[in-house]
Amino acid sequence: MRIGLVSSAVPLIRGGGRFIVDWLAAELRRRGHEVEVIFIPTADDPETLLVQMAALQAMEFGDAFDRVITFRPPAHVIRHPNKVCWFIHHVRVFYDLWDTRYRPVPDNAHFRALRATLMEADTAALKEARLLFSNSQVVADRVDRYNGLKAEVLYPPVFEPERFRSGGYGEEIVSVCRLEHHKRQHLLIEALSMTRTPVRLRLCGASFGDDYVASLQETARRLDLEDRVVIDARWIEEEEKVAALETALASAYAPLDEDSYGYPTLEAAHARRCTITVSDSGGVPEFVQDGVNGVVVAPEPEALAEAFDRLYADRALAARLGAAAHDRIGALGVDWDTVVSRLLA
Amino acid sequence: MIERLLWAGPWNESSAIARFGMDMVRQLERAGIQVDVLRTETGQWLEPAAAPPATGQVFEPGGLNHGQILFGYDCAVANLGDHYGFHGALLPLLRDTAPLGIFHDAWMGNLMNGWRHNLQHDAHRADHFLRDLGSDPSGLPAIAAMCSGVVVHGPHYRDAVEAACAGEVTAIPLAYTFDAIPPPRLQGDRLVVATVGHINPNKRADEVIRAIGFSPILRDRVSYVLVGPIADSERQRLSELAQRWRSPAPAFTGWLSEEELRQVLTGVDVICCLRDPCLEGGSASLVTALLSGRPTLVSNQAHYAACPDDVVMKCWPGREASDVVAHLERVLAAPEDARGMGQRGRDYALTCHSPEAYAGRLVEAAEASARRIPLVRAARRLGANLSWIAAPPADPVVARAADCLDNLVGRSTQT
Amino acid sequence: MKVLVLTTRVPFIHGGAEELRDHLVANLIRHGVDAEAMSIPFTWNPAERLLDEMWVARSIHVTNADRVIALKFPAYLVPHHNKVLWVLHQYRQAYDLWDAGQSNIPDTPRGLEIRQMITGADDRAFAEAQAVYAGSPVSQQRLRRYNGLEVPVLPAPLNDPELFTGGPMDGYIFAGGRVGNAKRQKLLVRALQHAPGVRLVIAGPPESPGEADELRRLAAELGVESRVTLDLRFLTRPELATLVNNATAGVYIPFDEDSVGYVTMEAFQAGKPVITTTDSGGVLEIVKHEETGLVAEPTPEALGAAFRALSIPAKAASLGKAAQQLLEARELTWPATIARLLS
Repeated sequence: MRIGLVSSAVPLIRGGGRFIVDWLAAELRRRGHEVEVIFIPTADDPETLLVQMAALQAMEFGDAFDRVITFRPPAHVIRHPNKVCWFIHHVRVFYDLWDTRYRPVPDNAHFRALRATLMEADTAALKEARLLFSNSQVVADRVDRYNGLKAEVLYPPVFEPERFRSGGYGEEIVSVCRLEHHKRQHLLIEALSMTRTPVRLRLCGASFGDDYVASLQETARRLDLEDRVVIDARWIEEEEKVAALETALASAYAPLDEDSYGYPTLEAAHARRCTITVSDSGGVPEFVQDGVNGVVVAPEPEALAEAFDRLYADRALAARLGAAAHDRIGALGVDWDTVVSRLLA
Repeated sequence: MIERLLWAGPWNESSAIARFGMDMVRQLERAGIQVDVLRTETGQWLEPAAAPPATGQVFEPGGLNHGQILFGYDCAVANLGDHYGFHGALLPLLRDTAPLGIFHDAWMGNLMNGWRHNLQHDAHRADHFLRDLGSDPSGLPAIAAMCSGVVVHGPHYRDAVEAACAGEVTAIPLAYTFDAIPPPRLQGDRLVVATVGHINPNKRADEVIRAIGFSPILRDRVSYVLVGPIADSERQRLSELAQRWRSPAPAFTGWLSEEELRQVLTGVDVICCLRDPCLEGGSASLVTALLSGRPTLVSNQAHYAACPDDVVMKCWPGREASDVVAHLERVLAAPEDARGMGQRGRDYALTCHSPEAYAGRLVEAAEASARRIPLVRAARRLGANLSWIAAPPADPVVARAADCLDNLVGRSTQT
Repeated sequence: MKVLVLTTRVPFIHGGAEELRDHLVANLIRHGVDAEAMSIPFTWNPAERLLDEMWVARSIHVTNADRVIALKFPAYLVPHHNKVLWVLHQYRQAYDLWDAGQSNIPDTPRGLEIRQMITGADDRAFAEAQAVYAGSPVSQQRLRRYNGLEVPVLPAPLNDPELFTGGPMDGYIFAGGRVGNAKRQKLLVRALQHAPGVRLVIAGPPESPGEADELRRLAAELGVESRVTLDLRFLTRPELATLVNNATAGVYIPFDEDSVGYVTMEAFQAGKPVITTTDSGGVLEIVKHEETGLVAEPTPEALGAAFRALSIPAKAASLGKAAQQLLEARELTWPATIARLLS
């Protein structure tokens, strides 16, 4: 099949929303399809959003592709007789984050009308899709709630999962994830200060700004943890990630209200590491089941500290939960064969 | 839900539209809406501001940028009249904020000329705006296209506006207030007939003079007074006409203050609100005449035709004289009936032309316009892109682009 | 510094323009800037569609880029405060191809309107850019003639000169590049009839699936199949370099192409002279008759004669050396080009 993968992207920002497209392209080509990846520059600007969407709607994709698959909005607005939407998430500030401080415009009559117009446009565009998927149950629930549509959950796999190696269970709890305030690495450091075992913490990942990283370093210093916490604030190469997870005691991932379970959870599971997470992390508990294949505690440093200590003291538990996390991948169908067969159905 | 509203228009003691605005703002505040005023006068017409609204402040022209307006208010209301001096500073608001437009006049040629003249020195901004102005000399489509909704005061210019406006067009009878004066004398022996307002040929004073001169009854018993500012040449012309048609010489008062007007009208029996052609949207003079309780002559077209037949005395537009003769002779013959008509006129105006009634309809129109603002603004932004590629307004690519925007939301209703 | 390269794409076509885009990005990154390319879809049929493509481009909102380098119509219409145009391609069917009667824009009043809107938009895009460069002398001349604009030429450098080291001549003439009608490989096969003993190797990606069969059939028809080697696929750079390095000479005869093109530059880098034709376009900038190659009339007989002439090793070596020196003298390197685009 000739397949077009079309997504909206802010130039020069790479991340999960971009990788999934490139990885899918590689997997489709490996299976003999002809694939073209098209990223269209898009800005999340309320002023120009509707005009950008009108332009997307006017773009032509018809003859060259047997099927197009869209990802990050507003790419789902494009027209094609065989459109499949793998809906990564809404422009959240107009949806579930409208009543929060993240909303970029005032909540007045005409901006509410903009919100309504955007929702109507999203609904109309998603309705046209031959197949509609979301990357998590959290997103599927929002599509149901706000757009009145049923999206099938299709979890994004990692690229070349066979790269991940599984070794022994060591002293270090690892978090490989962007260092951002809403990823809450500060909570992990605070938790470490309350542990009773000598368990260690490694935080590695890139950051958009310097402020949060500086505050993490300051927190570690203040809590006298500098010899037990490693803060590696830079882009982590794939091989480094594999090595860090290979002998980790477990992974810790405690973002605030995330859209999906997140790549860190999945990567850890491939390495047979369980994830320690918190109850308000959003989509992470879609993967992590407390006591079965990971640990879910209250979003408090004390609770996290207790979980860290428990695994440190019981390596067999860490291993058992880690193996179960690996099984969970298969149970949820988080693999490329599943993804490809669903997208091309 | 409109909670904060920006009222844009003249805000002074000289403009009838400013006076209307003050009445309206008071009504809106009474309905719980917080109102700020953005003045729109230019040059020498920017006299000291009238008193601010109770719940808000008055901004001088240009005192708010479009970001502040969009962020600060649920919607903006733009008062448009065919007078560059009073309304010229409205252009930025129209360009960037898609306001609800109240079209006080059915012709905006002078306002357009004012903008055209002032923009010609600002080539960059003039470029695509002037292209929009180009085709229709009345300016109605060009201005309506910038609005998220339009209020008209009569049916005669609704079509022109409706075709161009992407939002709703609402017809609301013009609101005006005029405190009661003593009822007319109307004794059947003599009649004092008055035309009120800025005296120009549209007011059909010729027809009144001709009517009085034609009928021996009227010639004997009717005095005609023209109440309002008049050019010397026009005064001269009308006096000569009266002589030619053997009509008694009309009297002229010139410009009068509010108080002076009330005093003069107290001595008037019948008011003439003849108009042809009708370039206004609604008529403050008509509402004044009705509220004064005096039987009123009108040309049977535009918003005048909307008045019930037993409330005003309707005349053939453009050839009013013979109907004027018939009506005035009847008033002399049956003054009681005329008095009754005057009272019905007052009741009618108190119901239909009241600020309360107007404000209620206006709030509905404002709510509807707020819902349209995002798409109207997007359409203007898209229009700017089409202008950049120099696509003329009627080019097929423009319609295709507009469809793309419309189809963003319209598709869910298509099968 | 963050740089966005903007261009257009046609799905599943990967040719010189796409190679340039990728190498531009790679070299920007090598230079130390954060760069990526985004290519927007472009549909030009029917001609009426061109107007939609223009307002669509104008409606794209680029953020998070300090500079945009735009390469083609209509991508260079995308608004940005700091835009540099490296004009590889205007929409030629509105300009010189229109004059040559080879345009999809009809010769009607509407067609005229379309062409005028394209020209106007181009003019405005050139005016709002920080700088405009032409990708080739031909492109420069077009801008001068049709848009009244004087711009410097910034040719695309060879991407991997280190691969084209040259080598001993294996006795064949090498025809590289995309294989299709505009490139006229069939004419090369016909020319072989008039060049007994000369061997021709044609290697490159075919523009349509039937190309290989058609060329094979033609060679058989003309009785030259034993002297033609066909390898119609996308070659890796090392595979291609090997074929170039061991050739006696190169041949490249596209019809009226914009720019010099990589095929010729690769040959010159490897010290091989190139045979071309009088109507090939941009390549004539560097292929000078009897200096760095041979320029023949586009007929089988004339081309055949050129094949025979350059099959003489001494002649090939001598012209080939001059060819390599010309390339060096022009300082066509990526670092210099990047510095220019970022200034």
